[in-house]
Amino acid sequence: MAFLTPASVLETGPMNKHSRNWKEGALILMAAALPGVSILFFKNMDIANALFSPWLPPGDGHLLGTNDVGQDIFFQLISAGGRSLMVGMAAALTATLVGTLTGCVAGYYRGIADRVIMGLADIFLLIPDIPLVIVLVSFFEPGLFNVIIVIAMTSWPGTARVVRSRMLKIKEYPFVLNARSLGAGDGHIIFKHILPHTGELILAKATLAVASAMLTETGISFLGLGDPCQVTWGSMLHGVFAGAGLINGYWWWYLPPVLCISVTVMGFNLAGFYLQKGWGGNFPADSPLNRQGQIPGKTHPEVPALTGINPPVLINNKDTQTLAPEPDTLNPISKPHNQAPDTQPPSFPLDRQIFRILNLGVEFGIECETNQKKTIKALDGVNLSLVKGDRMAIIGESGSGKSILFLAMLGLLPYNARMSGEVFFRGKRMASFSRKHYQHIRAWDIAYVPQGAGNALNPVIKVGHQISERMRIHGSISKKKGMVMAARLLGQTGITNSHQRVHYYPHQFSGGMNQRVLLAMALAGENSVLLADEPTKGLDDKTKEDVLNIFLKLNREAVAVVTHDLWFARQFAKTIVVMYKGIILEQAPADSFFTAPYHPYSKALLNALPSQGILNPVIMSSHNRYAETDPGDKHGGDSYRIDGGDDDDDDRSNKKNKEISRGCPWARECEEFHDRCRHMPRLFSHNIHKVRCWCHAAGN
Amino acid sequence: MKHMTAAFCQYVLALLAVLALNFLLIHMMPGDPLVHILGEEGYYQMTRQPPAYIEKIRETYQLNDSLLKQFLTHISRALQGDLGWSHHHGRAVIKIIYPRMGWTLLLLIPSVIISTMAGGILGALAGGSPRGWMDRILTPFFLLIYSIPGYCLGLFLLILAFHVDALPMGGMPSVKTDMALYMMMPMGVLVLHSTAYKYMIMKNAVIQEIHEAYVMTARSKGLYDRDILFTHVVKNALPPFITVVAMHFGFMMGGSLVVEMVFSWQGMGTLIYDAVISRDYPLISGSFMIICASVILANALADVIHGVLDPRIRSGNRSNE
Repeated sequence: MAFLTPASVLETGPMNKHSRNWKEGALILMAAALPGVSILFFKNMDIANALFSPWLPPGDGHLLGTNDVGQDIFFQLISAGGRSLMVGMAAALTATLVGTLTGCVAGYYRGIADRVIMGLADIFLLIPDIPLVIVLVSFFEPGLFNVIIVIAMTSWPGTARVVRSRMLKIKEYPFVLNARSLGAGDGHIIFKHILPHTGELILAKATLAVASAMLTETGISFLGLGDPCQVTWGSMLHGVFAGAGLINGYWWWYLPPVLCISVTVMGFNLAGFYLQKGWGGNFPADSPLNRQGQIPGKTHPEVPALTGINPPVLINNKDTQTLAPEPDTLNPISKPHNQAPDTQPPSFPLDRQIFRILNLGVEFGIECETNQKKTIKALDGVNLSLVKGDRMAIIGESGSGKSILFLAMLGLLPYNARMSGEVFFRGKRMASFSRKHYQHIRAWDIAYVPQGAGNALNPVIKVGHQISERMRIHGSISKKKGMVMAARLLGQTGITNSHQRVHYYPHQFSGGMNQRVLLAMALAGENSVLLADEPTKGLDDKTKEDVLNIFLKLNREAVAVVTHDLWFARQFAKTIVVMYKGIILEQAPADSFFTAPYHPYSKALLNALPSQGILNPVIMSSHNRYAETDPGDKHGGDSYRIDGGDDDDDDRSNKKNKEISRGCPWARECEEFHDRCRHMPRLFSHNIHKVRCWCHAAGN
Repeated sequence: MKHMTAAFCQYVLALLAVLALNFLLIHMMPGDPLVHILGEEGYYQMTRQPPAYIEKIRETYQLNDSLLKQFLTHISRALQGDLGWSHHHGRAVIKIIYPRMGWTLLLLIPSVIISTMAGGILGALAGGSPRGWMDRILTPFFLLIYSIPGYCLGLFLLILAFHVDALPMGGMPSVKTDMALYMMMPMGVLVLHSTAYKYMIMKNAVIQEIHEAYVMTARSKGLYDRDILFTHVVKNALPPFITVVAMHFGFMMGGSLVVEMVFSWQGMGTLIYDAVISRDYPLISGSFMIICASVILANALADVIHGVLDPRIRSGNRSNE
């Protein structure tokens, strides 16, 4: 039973953001509560009950005039406010305590306790609170204490639910598991390890609970069902209503309590919302739906330009070579005569080029636990051309940036990506495309097969509709006809009984079948260029062959495939591109690549193929050469290179780290490691091979 | 179906809980339970009768039986629609409630529908482009509206109406053609207030969905952003949204009771108020039961809609969750 309480919907976002909200929210909360607290000091003033002439307008002696029995409204307002706030806070405190406790027990112990508590909470959430309060108050003696208890009773479940769900999340965190493995008791873990991480959430819920408790209390008193002996803001309004103050136009009588209630409730509500997620929410500034095409270099000025500490080895582009420091001081090998420009002159006539990628770099700004910004480079200095008639396979391990490359080509990079360099599509600069233009080429020119992991398919739409969507953009086809065409495409990918299965939802398919649905989706509409991201992932050998046959029979201008699957690459591709850590290491025709790869990494890849019998001894005995030469390298082992400004304490070692992390990415595993490998080699052209390795520098 | 059964059990349990609460209030409160069964007026009338008559009444309400037996009778009576007799009105409770509930629902149901549509659409548009112009304008506005208590909003409107003199200051229409005029203000308050809430729910639901992988897939197909938003994203955000709307129905019910008082609308709110003032206990607890039952029913209905909208629930398989 998945009830979404309002708060669990509002509460989103990563944990680390809460720590910031915690302090600022507490400040706002204090500002909201301060007037109330000061009011508490004079809540028992006799002057509030002293009688003067009735219905005096504001003015001499009476700041806000008097009411029907001649009480001074200003002093009434103050003494009533103290009481209203007291009721609200007391009820919220009780509800929060009960809710936190029950939420902790339910979330930590699960099992029967969880079921009972959450069942109770669900029932309480179903019962509307104001009617319940009215009934209970009418049965009990009217009195503020009863009102507090009753409001607390109706508002604990919300807190309990939120605390429970946070509890479930934190329980699985490593530090909790650590504490448990060290033998810490349940109470210790709950109070010392888990609750501190729930504090800001509980405070937020408590703040919202104050607002809703005050709302209920004033509502009840406004109805005249509160304690008749204790004046609150609500009962002041009740007096106005009973005394016909509205119709007689005694504005000074009704306006102050209305304003006081509104402002106070609003203050607590806003403080609570802020505590929950900050003013604008935790949401990224930019959503995928809102994003225009990325404008290289312009979009994110706060990112340091790609000219880092060591420009010539960072960017292999002739444009930036003027920035290179003196070769002798830094890099004795990269003498000018040795610097073959990385960007080859177009080896094909321009009209045959579909994609032309120049020095493409993609970075992700991420915020880590310590709230420091770090940058992850997914692509670095990628130069690539996709020409007509080509069948390209991009191979490499996970995290080598292959998928990001496709997304950049489609203009679909995530919101937090920063792009540099240029992508040309049919000779036009993609960065200059409008959103509409991007949509047009995605609908008519480029088809894309996304990876099947996660919900790449919409879980609530029939697969047939999802497949035929693009055909329905192309021409106004009825939904029914779209289904028929979808069934045909699905049948082509080897799914039997496809006429029935187009009416299925993704959850009724297995992972491999969903993969083929994605393929059918890309085939729909017969776009001229096909980019496929891991089309054979999760397929068995038989289906893999089916998919290969589809790919071989495709009549497209160009097809590019990202794959782990070397068998598939070998059968399918004309051109092989090897990527490693966001960098192209080798590019070669398939035949030549599979018979004689140049780059040591490519060799290792091919050796790791099961058909080659044994694993590459280099990989098996891999040892860290940097560890011998430079023990300060901390980042090198990551699959992404992280360039962050976090270790400012030791600037020199930091500099060195950066320098090394910008060397050849494969260097630490390489058999043919050489001192030169501390610096990034260019992509040397070597007959039909292009290879990024110093070993082949001489042949250039 | 497993999901449906669990939900059904939950609603039955909630209904039982409400009945049990009622029973507890009648029998566990200090004093004679007959006060709470007959109401203060009825009890007063009864005390003037000879003791044999009082004993007879005790017999009719089975007050001498065991509590368990009384509880079972209490439940079976309530389920048959016998909610007691109001001595204040001199009629059966259910007959008094029936027309009044109609007036309340006349306000409530259109408000629910309008606010769900408006909040859903505006929230989806704002969520589709966070920090866009819609988000920038609507979010602070609705945050403000949501933070002001509903009846305060009503009072502001009433003050406005008093000075402008265009709309009736509340009360009930004497002729049916005036209905819209009289409904305008109370409904306006309800709609505005709950639109604000539903707007925020939908906005956040859409923002969460927008980062799902299927949005990327839809974009890679060249669909227009607005189509992606309304066919792909909203379809996923809708089921949880509907659940929240149903949960909010109870809140709106309570709010409408107070708003009715502001505008002297002759619905359940004014009825309960009069019942509390005259200590007409059977009418109070009867009204409470009916209100709870309608809220529970609304939630059950939402669960059914939820199941229709989400194929994963429909086939009882939530593997994708």
